[in-house]
Amino acid sequence: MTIEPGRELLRLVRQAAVRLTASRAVETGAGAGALAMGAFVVLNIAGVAIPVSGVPLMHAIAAAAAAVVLAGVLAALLRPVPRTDSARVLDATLRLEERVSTAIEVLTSSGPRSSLSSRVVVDAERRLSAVGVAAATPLRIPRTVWWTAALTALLFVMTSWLHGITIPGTPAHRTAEVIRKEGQRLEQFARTLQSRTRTDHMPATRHLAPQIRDLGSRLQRERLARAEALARVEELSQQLAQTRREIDERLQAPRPAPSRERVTSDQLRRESTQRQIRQLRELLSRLQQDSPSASRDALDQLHQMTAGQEGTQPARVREQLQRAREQLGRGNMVGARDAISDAMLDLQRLESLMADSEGIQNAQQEVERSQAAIAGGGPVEGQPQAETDQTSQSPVAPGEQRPSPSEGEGTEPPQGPNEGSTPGTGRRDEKIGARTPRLDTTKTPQRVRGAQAEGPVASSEIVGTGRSSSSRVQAADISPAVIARADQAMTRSRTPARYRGIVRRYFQRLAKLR
Amino acid sequence: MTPEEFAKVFDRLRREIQKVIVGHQELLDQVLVALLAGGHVLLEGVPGLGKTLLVKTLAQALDLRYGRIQFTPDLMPADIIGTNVVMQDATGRRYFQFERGPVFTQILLADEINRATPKTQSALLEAMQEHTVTAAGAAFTLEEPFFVMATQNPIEMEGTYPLPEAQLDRFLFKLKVEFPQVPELMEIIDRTTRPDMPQATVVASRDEVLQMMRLAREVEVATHVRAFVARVVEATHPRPGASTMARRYVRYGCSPRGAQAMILSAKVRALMAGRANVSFGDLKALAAPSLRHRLVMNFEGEAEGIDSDAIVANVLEETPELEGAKR
Repeated sequence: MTIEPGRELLRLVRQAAVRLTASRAVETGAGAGALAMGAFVVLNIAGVAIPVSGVPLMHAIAAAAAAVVLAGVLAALLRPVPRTDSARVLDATLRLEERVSTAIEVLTSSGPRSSLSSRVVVDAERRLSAVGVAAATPLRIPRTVWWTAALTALLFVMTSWLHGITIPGTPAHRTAEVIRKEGQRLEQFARTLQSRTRTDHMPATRHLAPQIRDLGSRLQRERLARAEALARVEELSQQLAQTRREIDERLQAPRPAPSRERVTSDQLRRESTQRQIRQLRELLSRLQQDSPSASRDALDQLHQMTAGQEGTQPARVREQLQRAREQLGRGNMVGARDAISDAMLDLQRLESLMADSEGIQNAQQEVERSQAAIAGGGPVEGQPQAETDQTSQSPVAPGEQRPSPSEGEGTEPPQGPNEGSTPGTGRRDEKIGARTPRLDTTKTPQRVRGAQAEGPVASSEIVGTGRSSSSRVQAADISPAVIARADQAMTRSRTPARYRGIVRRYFQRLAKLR
Repeated sequence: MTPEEFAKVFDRLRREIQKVIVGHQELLDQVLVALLAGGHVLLEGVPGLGKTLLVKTLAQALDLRYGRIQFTPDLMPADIIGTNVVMQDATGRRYFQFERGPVFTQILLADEINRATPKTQSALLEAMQEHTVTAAGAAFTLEEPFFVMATQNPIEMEGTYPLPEAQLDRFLFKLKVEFPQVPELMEIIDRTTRPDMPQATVVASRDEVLQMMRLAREVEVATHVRAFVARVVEATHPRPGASTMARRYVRYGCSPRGAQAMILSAKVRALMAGRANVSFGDLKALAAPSLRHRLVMNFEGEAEGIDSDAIVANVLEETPELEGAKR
């Protein structure tokens, strides 16, 4: 069998073309990988000045690997090395003095051939076969691979040790500060929430408060990027929403969208429940005396309770109270006490759920506020600095809304006769001025001593509208420590929960007025 | 004839001439290349360097007819191509008969060609290009191979007529004859002062030379090699894309004859190496003798005494072998 001249040459050149295409694909892929890794490094470096999320190392490696594969495959498919080019490469690398390229041209051209054409082909074939294609087109590791490795190492160093470091004065630093302060605020809030769960029975809130505290602590400690921080806050926010949905379902009350009216209604409902619990407790202590007058009073009181609370009392409680009334009517004091105890327990469970709902609602509001602050804490176009500073406000106690700063915040408070309430402004001489009128009264003792005895208990709630006026003192932020102290004092003091609610509502109203 | 036979004859020829000519190996190779490429050579060198002896020895080794014309200012064209003379036959009838001049030879030495007037110099134009001579309305074909080897002295420029560009362009090569080195000089003294002067013997016949010339034309040139030649010639012209030195010092670049000269001579050189295709190496080796006399310097180039070889070297340096490739 004779082999057609040039057949082997064409095969060898084709083989070289494939190797060169592969080599080019590897080179292109490596270049794309280096480029991608370089971009990630630049992105991470930029993160010290502008609030962009750095790419985690594993994600960067995965993306670079994808770029390598994609670019390599595309290069191989779209830019294969032609035979003529590979022949020229073989000539150049093997120093074949243009034998192969001339022979390939002779073989592939359709024009007339000279008497030396076949000789050119044979000569090229012989020389190329002797040398081998692999020697001319070795598959080397491209130099860019080392660049990629170096960039990966740099990225590793940056993500491991320099993660979250920002240059002071840059937008990234400001964002980091916002995140840190929000973390601080959330942690403070969580502490307050935890202290509240110790006094009130709020099992779900008690369970969630440590998580809020943990998030706050992480936001302060872990130097998170904005996106990471938002993701974590969002996660907690969803958890809170889920818990609240569950509580709402248990309360068996389909809740409308949050609104001021609904908040008020919830509060009224809870206060009413608390009042009923107190009344039932008093009723129980009275029934302990087992006297006819106590029985009569109890019957009256039970009648009032069932008659006046149709809208707020659960059906089960109403039934138990009705049963208590019947037992009292029959003179069965023990049965009546049992029925009242059951009703009280039900009401206590209901109150606990309501407290949980309120606590979680407050937590949700705080978390959402942090989320908004972190999201807008970067260099948003046209965002005033005051808005950014808002994020650094101290946390509020659960159930309380702190007054927010108004537009004039930062300016000096107005001068006036309110010395003592505007510390740090004005000179001493100016502040002294004319003496303000004082009340000429004697001090009253703080405690009234007396003997404890039985007596009628009456409680009523007075709801009225106050005169609207504006304070001459600008609302200002107070430190979280002061809030915490105030909250602790409120918790420690034996102030009835009802009055605490009034105080809280007063401050909530103030906050809304800002 | 095969490339191997070509290389063998070429080598034999070279060795035979070297029996007489001392040194000048590169020059000798280039003269043989020009002969086998069908071109002519302009030799530039001071007198006494063996130019005449080289031509004479070449003619002896090839068994070709040899003629010599010493160009002088009073030399007339008819002195070169010949003239009609009045003849009388046996019956007493007179008639004109063309008396062939010294151009009717196979190897012609035009010694000190720049001493003749342009009119006389141009008498060689047709012979060199067309290998024909026209006199008194009759055309005479010169016998192949026809090879002109002109010499000129670069130092005695007084009373000379520099060759016009048109005539220079007809020379395939312009070769510079360098002064021999001391060992070569000693060998020259030794060989030429003995009673028996070495003589060249015939080593190749006229037919063999013609076969070699035909074979040289058969050598293959790849497209990218031709493209390289075209780009080199293009780069000698002072316009965008030209080499740095060409843009600065050249007024007119090479004509297409420069590209032809490069390819033809490279084909012969390839066969010398036993190859049937032209390589970049062949082209680069013969670029300077092929192009140096085709460049016309501008005022700055003349004033600064720029050597055309430097420009050719610069062009080769700045022209990549493959288009689009970076150097």
